[in-house]
Amino acid sequence: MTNAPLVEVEGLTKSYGKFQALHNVYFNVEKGDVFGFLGPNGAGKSTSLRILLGLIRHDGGKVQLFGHPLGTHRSEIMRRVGCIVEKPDFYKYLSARKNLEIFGRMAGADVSRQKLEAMLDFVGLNGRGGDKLAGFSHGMRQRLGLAQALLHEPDLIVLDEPTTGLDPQGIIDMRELILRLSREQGKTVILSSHLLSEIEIIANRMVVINKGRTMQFGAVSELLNANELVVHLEVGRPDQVEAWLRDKGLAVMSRHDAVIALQLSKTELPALNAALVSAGFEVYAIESRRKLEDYFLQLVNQA
Amino acid sequence: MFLQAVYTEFIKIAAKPRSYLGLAAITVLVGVILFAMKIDGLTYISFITAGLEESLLFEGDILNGNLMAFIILQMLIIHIPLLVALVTGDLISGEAAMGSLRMLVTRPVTRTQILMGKFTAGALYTLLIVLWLGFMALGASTWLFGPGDLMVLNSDGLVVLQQGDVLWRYLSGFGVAYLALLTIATLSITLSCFSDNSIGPIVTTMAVIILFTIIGTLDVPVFDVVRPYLFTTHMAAWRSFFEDPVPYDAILQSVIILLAHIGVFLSVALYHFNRKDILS
Repeated sequence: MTNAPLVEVEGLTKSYGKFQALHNVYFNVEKGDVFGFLGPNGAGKSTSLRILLGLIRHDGGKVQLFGHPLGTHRSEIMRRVGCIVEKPDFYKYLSARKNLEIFGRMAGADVSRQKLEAMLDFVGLNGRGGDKLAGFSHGMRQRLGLAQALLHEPDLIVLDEPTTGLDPQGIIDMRELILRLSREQGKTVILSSHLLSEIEIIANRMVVINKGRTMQFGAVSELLNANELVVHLEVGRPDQVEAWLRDKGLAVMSRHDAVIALQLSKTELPALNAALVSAGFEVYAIESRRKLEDYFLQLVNQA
Repeated sequence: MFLQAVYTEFIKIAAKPRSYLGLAAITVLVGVILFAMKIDGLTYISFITAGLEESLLFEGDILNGNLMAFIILQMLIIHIPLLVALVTGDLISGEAAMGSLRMLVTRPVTRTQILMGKFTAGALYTLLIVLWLGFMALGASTWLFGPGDLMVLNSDGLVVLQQGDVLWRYLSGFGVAYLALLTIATLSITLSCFSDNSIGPIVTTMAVIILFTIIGTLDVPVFDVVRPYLFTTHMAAWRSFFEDPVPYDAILQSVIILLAHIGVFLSVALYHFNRKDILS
């Protein structure tokens, strides 16, 4: 039981009336992961996460957290889970501190004034505890949402689109908060976001869902550096290089100014570099790491 | 954890401005009635007793605190359900509309505990409304008009109750009136489980009360079978305590029917809320 993944989802299905929202979703989250949850709009991300949090009942499949089935151990499991589902909605007629106290009490957390102030301080809301929510900006509500998710010191934190509506500084702050939670406190984080660059920077493992099915899941580094890479070459005389590459039978995908994108296996890359230099072309840069955006679009378009 | 649920629910009710509407409305309405009766009460009383004065001799102060309390209760007990539903009909649907329900449901408490916490807080709020109504009706009336014997005109005739024989009747009457209002509160909470907006359950609760009241008062044989089982038929059971002798069997039957309604409404609410997908 101790080696079991923190979250195990297998063969998850869910329908709303005649509409089948999830056909077969599966993924595992290991302890300490920052786990990216990706998919286009309507892919089934929110439905999957809501099932994981007990907000929605699933029709079939297995959902197990901390080694226990969600259906029979919900309260025990939720004691160890903190979450933000979409945008955090609080009681607007109460202060930030009172909101935090209410959700903390319901989670069995320490709601002493000292603890509440420390948590508000942690998320960057120090001095705003007495203010009513009606006057809070979206970014401040997101921060308070994170505070309520962390107050009862959960082992697993589920964040559904936590950066939605945040300004660039807010996005950076949220990213840093998530990384602090993972690195300094060893929390496991499931992060759903439509910002692929965020997932690429933060997550170590991920799942891609489309049309209610798991398309791919595993370590981000492995998935993005699989054999079929998208290589971006920055070269001199790009017209001639592009013609040369096509002569060699290589799959040129696109060209923007001096940057040529082509599909290539990882093992072919050193030989290509050497051949270009031998042919007298100037190679200024080779970006061989596959970008999540390319990978994501490839997966989604395949479906 | 259940006590925490009740506590947090009561904090939320206490912080909502609409919760004070009921208390404010009772204060204003009772104030208006007392003012009017203080100014012109004797005319009102002589109008009612005009037909009886030919055969009966009235001595003493008929227009006293006890009679005023009875008049106020008669007038207001019909309107109090709206004041109760205004708060209890919003307990689940209001949170669904606001979005806070999904945060609440992801806490490590069962949905049964969440709903029972809300029901208990709603029941406490209803009790507060009844107590305030009792205080305003009985306390303020007695303070302004002084004590005295209570004269009640029932369908069976005129009942005169001695001053010392009235207080227990009011206390018991308030108990049954509370049960009737708790039935309304439970109905609105149940309807609240089926809705994601706050107005729907409040309006539907009032619509049900109006419909059942019409069915209950329409003297048409087709409704004879259902009439005794409608909760609205028993909402005025508190009045039975002011009859002489007190019809305890009828009161007990009303209490059982009201309790049965509370049980059924609560069971439906629990069944649905425990299976509801929180999509808001």
